[in-house]
Amino acid sequence: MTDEIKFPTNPFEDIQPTDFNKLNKKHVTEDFVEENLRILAWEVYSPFNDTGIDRIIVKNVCKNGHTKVNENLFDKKCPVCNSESITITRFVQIKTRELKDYIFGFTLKPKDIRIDPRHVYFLYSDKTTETQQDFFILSVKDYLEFFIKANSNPFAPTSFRKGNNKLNSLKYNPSMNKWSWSGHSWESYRNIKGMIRIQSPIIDINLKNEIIATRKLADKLQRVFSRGRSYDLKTETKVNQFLNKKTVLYGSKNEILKLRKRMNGFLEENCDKETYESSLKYFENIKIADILGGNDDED
Amino acid sequence: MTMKIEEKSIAYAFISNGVYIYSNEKGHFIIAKLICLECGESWYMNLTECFLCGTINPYLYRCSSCHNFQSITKSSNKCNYCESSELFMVCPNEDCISNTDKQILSEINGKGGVFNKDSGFSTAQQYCLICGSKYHRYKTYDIYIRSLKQEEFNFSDLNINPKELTENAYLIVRLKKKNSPLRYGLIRLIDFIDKKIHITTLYENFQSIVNHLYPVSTS
Repeated sequence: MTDEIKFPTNPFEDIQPTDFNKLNKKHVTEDFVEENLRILAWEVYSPFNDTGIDRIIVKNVCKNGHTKVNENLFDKKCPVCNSESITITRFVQIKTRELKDYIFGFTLKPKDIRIDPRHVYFLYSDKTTETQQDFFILSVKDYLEFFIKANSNPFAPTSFRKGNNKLNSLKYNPSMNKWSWSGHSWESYRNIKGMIRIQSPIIDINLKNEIIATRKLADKLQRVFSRGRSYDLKTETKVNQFLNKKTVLYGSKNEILKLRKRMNGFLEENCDKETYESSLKYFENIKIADILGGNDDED
Repeated sequence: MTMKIEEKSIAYAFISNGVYIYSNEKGHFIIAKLICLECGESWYMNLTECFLCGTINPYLYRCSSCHNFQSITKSSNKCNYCESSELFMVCPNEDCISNTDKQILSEINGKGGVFNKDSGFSTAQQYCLICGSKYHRYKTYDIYIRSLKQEEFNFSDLNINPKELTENAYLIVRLKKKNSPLRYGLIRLIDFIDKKIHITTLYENFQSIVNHLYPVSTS
């Protein structure tokens, strides 16, 4: 049945996805994604102001996984097992890129790694060929699991934490019409297959356990230091030894709270009043920036 | 569909209280917030902490000569106390390996210090600010807005399709009585389908509504 659905499809008959360039395509590409999600019967919500989440999508599905990819059981029971439907929600972060030398290059930063596995990356290749577009749809958990299985770690380099770790390993093979990441197939995340993956209600049914599992994957990948060209080999060794020990030193909730309380007291004691207040003010401004969003040079 | 002015007003009130807004054509909007899984405190992905020990970024310079802290918004690039130009955004935890190991300290300070974005030694928030948990989640609600003049009304007056209501669908009533300040009521809609509604609790400020929807456990 999935073979019958053309996805993605161009919902805007008067234009081609390639008619827009890097500077003016953000709105149209997000709208392209939105209309394609509607084709698969998702309810799509757009942000009132620019934030890290580009769309929230909602659907009612059978809790036993019987719902078709283009079906929404809103106000209906499952026609297969007669069970009540459940509402599933996904938080979509869209990255649109034009291929360069058949490579889909993109950047993810530490703030993009949210361990709620309902957070979904939507990578949109708007010009795989002159007439073909592709989506890659992965939950954050799928994304992290891929790197564990591929024995690869794009989260270890300092450039990841600096926010400029451009990932250039997702590649299109035009003769085979296949996508891979450093030789590992990405076909299971592509287009309809990716949409089927994110429709699984397992995440929503076991949300707490799924969050804990995703944190574990993130820790395994993120608590590793790779020096790149910036740091000495000895520094790399010592930092990794410290990070392993950190689970003992600052690994528990109590330890981290004690440390933070101690640091707050230390700063209050060692700063003049004006400096301490400036620190607190900056902290408050950062919190507001989180809600107001924007200012990301690369969306 | 364009939002009505009362909906926009409520949307901005949520935003000013740290909540994201998402809308579509269905006559309600979704509010969302990233919160701690365990205590419900807000989680800020723009907030940075030391990659090595988890200390929160104090957004301060520290002079490596006289060890005084100073604001990063200062105009001069010299220390206010000793005029040294050795100012770094260090981790204030003196037990952190970024301070105890001289080689690591020197290399990181060569990139401006742990909290300088060029060092690669700071990361997004990993631990809850209140309870220290390392787990976060999104929490959402469907929000309907109505401006009314009385605390009592019927569900049918709201013109809301009961079939579209989820367990997390809430109505915010903007109660506008003559010669009285604006007050707010909050009800969970599925509890009142086809019933007469009497709002018993009215809030004078909007923050109380947000606190009710996103409570923080202090235990």
